[in-house]
Amino acid sequence: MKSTETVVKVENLRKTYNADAVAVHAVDGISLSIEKGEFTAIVGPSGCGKTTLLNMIGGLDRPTSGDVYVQEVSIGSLSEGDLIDFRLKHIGFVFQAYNLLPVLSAEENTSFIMQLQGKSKEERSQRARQLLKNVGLEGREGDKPAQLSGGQQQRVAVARALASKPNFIIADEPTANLDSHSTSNLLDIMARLNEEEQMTFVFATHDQRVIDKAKRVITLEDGKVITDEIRS
Amino acid sequence: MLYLRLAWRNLWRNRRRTLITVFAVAFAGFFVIAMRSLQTGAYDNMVRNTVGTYTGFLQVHQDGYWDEKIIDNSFEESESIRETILQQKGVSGVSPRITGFSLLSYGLKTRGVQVEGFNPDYEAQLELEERVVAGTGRPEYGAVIGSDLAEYLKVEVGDSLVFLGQGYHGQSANALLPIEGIVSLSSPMLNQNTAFINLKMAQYVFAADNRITAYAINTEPDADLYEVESKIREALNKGELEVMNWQDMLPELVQSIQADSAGGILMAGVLYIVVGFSLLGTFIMLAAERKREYGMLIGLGMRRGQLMRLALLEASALAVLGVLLAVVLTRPLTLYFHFNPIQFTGQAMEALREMGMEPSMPASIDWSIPLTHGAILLVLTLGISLYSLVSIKRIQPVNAMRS
Ligand SMILES: Nc1ncnc2c1ncn2[C@@H]1O[C@H](COP(=O)(O)OP(=O)(O)OP(=O)(O)O)[C@@H](O)[C@H]1O
Ligand SMILES: [Mg+2]
Repeated sequence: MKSTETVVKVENLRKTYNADAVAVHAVDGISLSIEKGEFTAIVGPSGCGKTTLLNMIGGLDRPTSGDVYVQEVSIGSLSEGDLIDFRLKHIGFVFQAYNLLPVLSAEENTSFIMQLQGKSKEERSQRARQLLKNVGLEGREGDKPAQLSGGQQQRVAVARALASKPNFIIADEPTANLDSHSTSNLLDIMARLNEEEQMTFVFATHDQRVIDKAKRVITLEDGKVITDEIRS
Repeated sequence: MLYLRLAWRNLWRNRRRTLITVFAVAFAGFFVIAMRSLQTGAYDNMVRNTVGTYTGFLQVHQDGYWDEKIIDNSFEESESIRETILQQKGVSGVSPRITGFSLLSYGLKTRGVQVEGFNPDYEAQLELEERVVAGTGRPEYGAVIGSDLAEYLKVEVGDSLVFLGQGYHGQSANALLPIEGIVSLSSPMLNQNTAFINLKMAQYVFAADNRITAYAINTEPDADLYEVESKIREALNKGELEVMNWQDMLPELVQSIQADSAGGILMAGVLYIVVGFSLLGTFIMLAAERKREYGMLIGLGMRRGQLMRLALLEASALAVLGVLLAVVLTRPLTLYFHFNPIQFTGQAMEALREMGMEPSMPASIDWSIPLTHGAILLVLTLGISLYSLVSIKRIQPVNAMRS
């Protein structure tokens, strides 16, 4: 049996919005942990709290109560500035859309994060090219986002997320704007990276094709986990 | 490097808006720099015409002379005083003068004129020899007069003028002096109302042997006038002599320059406010457009301070482009009008002459004008870009990306 290593631990997490004086419990007391190498889908009907949960796991949003631990570090205890640095060092993001800076090429977008991390120019360019090759974009390094299809843009975003060597990557509906061909292509790439590099992925999705590929499926309803299924 | 490249490329994302904003800054800069160059040039010219070529930047008189300009308030000319003044750092020339007033007649025409006795060998301001229309600029026994005065009296070189005036201690100062030369002076006041005669002759006519009313002092172009003034005052250290600078001697000139200049500054201010609003519009649109992107960048791990630096760079680039364009456009214009002064003709010319001003307006090519207004525009742009900085400060990645 493989020894496991916890990358994210969520403890009794709650997020309450007070819209129009009616309290909405977007995330309502969730506890779970995510182990290294997982390929986890968070699913559930619209409004069940997937985005809210992912944002808190990724340190983009603060919980009303409870805490998130990434590598034993309590995200709740970090100051605003430290949290930004923490995201830069430890967490990779693939957003639903508008991931890339339109004025930078695919390679520049990929190396951007590494530049913020202070990596050397040679390291950046070598790694960016390697990653773009890994996501099947060899030869498109110099293209601007506007010259790439939606699927290709998302693949650049995946390459960028990997570039910073994060502990895990979160992706909120990464395939929502893609056609079925691009979706399966992106999924194959993510699955391969998960297999080959043991990169941990956590994504929220509605898409049955994405759910089918997941190794673990966590279903939410009204901000609560209703099923948590690990597939072999 | 990353920031520079990003800022530069961001600048051209909306090419048309960037160009419009750059042109707005450039237009304001162009207009203000051109206007201030013409104004400053005109002021410099006025000062040069009255001060540089007549009164001198500093004068030494008998105490009280400037309040009551009569021959009785003259003092004994002394080579040692002249030497002392000349030795002060920043002094380039010291001209002894005796100034009196007299009625001047030729035939049936008479006019009250200022009689300026000067020593052609020591003279550092009056450049009569360079302005000769007829005869000489170095009077010995007769008078040199301005061309307007000659025209008014209808006289030529060789005609004799009758002077009727009052000399030292109430003695009568009458003389018959031939015209030795006619000069064309740029200051209309001097050209219409002044007769120049040799200092020795003037002292004789005014019965003020060896006396003068002033030492007119010229200073080096880069000398600090006030410093030179206080040095001379210190060196003379004699209670009965006063040292005055041209601003104290000619308060009307200073006031009219200040009043005119204030109008120009007001206009520049209004223009800057208008451009400021145009810039604000650009920055508001920019902040709204980039909100999602900035949210994404903060989400990825870019600090707000880094984003602000980026926004500041972009704003600076905008301002620098506008300012450079303004300077590049105004420079040839000011250079042209510096060497080819605007000449007023017709009624404008008459009006200016009546005000005692030269109807010619050379533009100033002093770099301090474009530098000052370039700096103002830069500070204005950066100040208004605070809007972008505040909006970056407020961005919450989750909300920004949701919108
Ligand atoms: N900023 C907010 N203010 C108020 N209510 C919010 C806010 N963000 C989310 N909510 C509410 O919280 C609940 C969970 O929203 P969330 O976006 O997490 O759902 P989701 O599962 O991601 O939905 P979808 O599948 O449509 O993306 C919803 O009821 C939503 O209306
Ligand atoms: Mg969602």
